[in-house]
Amino acid sequence: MTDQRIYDYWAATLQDGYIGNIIQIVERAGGARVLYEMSRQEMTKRLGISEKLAAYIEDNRVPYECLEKEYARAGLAGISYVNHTDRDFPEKLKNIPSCPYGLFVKGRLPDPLKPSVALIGARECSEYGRLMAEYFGNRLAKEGVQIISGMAWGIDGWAQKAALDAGGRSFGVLGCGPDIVYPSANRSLYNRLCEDGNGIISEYAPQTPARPRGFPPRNRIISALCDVLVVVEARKKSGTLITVDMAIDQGRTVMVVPGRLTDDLSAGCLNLLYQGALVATGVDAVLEQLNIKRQMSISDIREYKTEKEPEDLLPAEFMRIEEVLTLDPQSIGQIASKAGVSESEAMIILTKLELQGISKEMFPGFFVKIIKKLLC
Amino acid sequence: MFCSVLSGGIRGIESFPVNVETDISPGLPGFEIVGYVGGEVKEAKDRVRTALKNSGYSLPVARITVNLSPGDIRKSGTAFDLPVALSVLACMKVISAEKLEGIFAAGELSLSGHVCSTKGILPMIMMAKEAGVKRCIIPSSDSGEGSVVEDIDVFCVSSLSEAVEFVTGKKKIAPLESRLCSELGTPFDYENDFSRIRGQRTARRGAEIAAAGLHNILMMGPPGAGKTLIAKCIPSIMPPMSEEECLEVSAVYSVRGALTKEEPLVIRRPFVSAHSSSTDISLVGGGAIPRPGAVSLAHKGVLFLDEIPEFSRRALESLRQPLEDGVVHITRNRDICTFPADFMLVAAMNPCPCGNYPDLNRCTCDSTKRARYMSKISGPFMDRMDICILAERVSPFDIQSGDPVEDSKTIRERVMTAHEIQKRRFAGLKISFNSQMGNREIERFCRLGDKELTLMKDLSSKHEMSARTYYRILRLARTIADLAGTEGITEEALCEAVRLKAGF
Repeated sequence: MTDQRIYDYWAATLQDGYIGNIIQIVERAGGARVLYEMSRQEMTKRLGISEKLAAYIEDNRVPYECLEKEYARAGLAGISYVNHTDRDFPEKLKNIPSCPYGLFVKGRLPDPLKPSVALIGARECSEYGRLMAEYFGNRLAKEGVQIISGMAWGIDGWAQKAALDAGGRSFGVLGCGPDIVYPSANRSLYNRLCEDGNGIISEYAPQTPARPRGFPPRNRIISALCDVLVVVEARKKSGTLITVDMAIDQGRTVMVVPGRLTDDLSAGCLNLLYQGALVATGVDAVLEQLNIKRQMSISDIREYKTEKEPEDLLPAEFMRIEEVLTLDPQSIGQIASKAGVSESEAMIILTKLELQGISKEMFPGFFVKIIKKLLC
Repeated sequence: MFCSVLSGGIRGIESFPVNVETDISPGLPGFEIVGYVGGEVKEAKDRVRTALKNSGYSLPVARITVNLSPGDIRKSGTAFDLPVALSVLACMKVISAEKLEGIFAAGELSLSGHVCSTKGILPMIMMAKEAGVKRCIIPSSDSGEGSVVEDIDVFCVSSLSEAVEFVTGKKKIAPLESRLCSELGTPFDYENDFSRIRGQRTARRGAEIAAAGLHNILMMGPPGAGKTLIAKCIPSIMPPMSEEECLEVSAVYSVRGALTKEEPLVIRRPFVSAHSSSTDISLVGGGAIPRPGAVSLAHKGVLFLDEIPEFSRRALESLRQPLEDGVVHITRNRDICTFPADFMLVAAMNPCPCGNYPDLNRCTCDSTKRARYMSKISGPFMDRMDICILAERVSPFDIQSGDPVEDSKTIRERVMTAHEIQKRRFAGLKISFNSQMGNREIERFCRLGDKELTLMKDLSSKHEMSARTYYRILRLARTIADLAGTEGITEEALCEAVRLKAGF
């Protein structure tokens, strides 16, 4: 460990409060160490930066010993610091306008030789969105594609979980320190992302808490790290659209999973399609954009839906209830009246269908259909 | 000169005998009341002195000492005014002392000598009856409560002078006629009947099962779904109260001062709705002089908590003990007051703060907000809710449709049959309803066949059930089977029970 590294680490911690290009400032100063030792007046005079920024840099001038300790502590926690000049710093990231000065990584960085797809979307997703996220996550991972996402609640999390379940690799880019689990409900996903060749990536130093301002900038890293960005569900004014804009600026291919005109959750997606984004009609379409020939022979989505496995013949009421179930949550009352059975009967049959893995209670009293075959 | 008369104090909802002893002896003039008395009892001396003066009796210039015995139980309330006045008059030889023997008296005096309405008359008369007293004097405004106790002569007086005339034999007063049988026999209707509820079939089913096994029930549904109306209808499908239950409930209301002349007995099962700003004390009872809270007012009936996530955690946690024991104990200095609190809890909540989840086109809450909303109800509290069902918004079409819906009477009959089955099952045991079964009783009365056992195994692994949930489902399935009239617990009953636990 050299002094140089500690100063670089320090420069990277500045990313927390300054979104602009720190690389440029450090270059103009002639190295991170020079910048560290500069006075405020010198900074404004020689580097031509604003008073405010100079004050910010000065305020964050932590004593060297503390930096050393922090660096060592990060190492002990399994977090490595990757400087933008390092060999393993992602090439894709170097080429974007506001490349981070360095990255804090728990686990690994994505393999540059393998294709990567970012799967992003709404936090409050529908059952359909969840199914689509799982479908793309699962199938792409099986084709050896690395899944990049934000580990957020909803689409991000489901897609990454599905990818890991399929035995693939996935990387989570966080808007807080790499040792902070946000949202904490995704702790088990976080733990899985830390090991087995997966990774947690952040431009923020360890212990940086999750704050709203940290998340928009991290989206540029998600879009930069991928080859193709797939949007699953997004409302009209969704944070996901920020990522899409950045992906377009960075020259990435944007694909969109279509939804229904009536779903608010699909409004953003449909808008993107109208503006000319590609339609993600299935895994094949995404793979085509990645120029990958499918290794396994898998069928298209449509086939999965029509193809029926030979099942044990269910009694007539069971069949009726199964037909009523959709991906949209319906209450027991609605299901019972549509299928023409009593509430008690509906409850009994729904429990039995649940045991057979055909229905699922997604919220107390509300049932959806499970489409298993998309995920085998 | 020393004289005494019997009266009664109230502790909790029970009355205890108090001997009001008076002594007038020469000395520095004064009027003292002793015997561990509260502020309102101390004030009795001023009311008594003035009431006596205004009724035409002037106090002698001597030292008057009144003792309320036993002296180690705290006494409160205004019921001692009349007995104090009577015993003072006996000391003054206006009334001969023997005339006060075997008489029980209670009532508050106004300065004019009028005898006013007093709280807790019903339990006092019941205590007097147990103590072997034959004659009671009570305020005439409380004649209703006096008329529902049998085998004791209750006389109503409206003024102090009337009381004196009665005791001395100058005036004859007819004892109150017992109205107990006629009151119990009055046919009654509940204001809210299930025939008013259209649609809501899941919730109706849940309410029926809840009433059949006295299970606590939580209704989840969007605002305007009719959760409150359903809750209000639940007492109407519970069996009518027995005489014993009526008297017990009426005693609580008597202590609260909530009984009227017209309705001296509570014959309808109570429905008590507590607001979400309620404190723990207003729910379980308490105060410097312990008073019954909402849980005791709902004794033998329904306690309804709307919007439970809005209740303070402290208030909700305070309900756990009464839910468990069916009584509330309140300790004050040396006393422990016990209030009955055997109620059925009906709670309601929205699925999320805005109330529209899982309709994602309308719900504006995010998952954190929803999780925070849900987390306001603690796990242990949730564990006590046997049934958790969905109340749906009813479409105007359903409300206007002419489809016949069952009225409360039809449902009540089924519930009563289920209660009969339970009574026979638990004969000789301390419990009387399925919801009260502990693990030992569940193992004894909820045996499963092989087929059902396999189903239950599958269900418990699918839902990752805890042992507690497992037992709760068996308990619920027992009630469903009782309603269906089947001896064993069927597969259907188990499947339905799982659904009524709705995801929790």
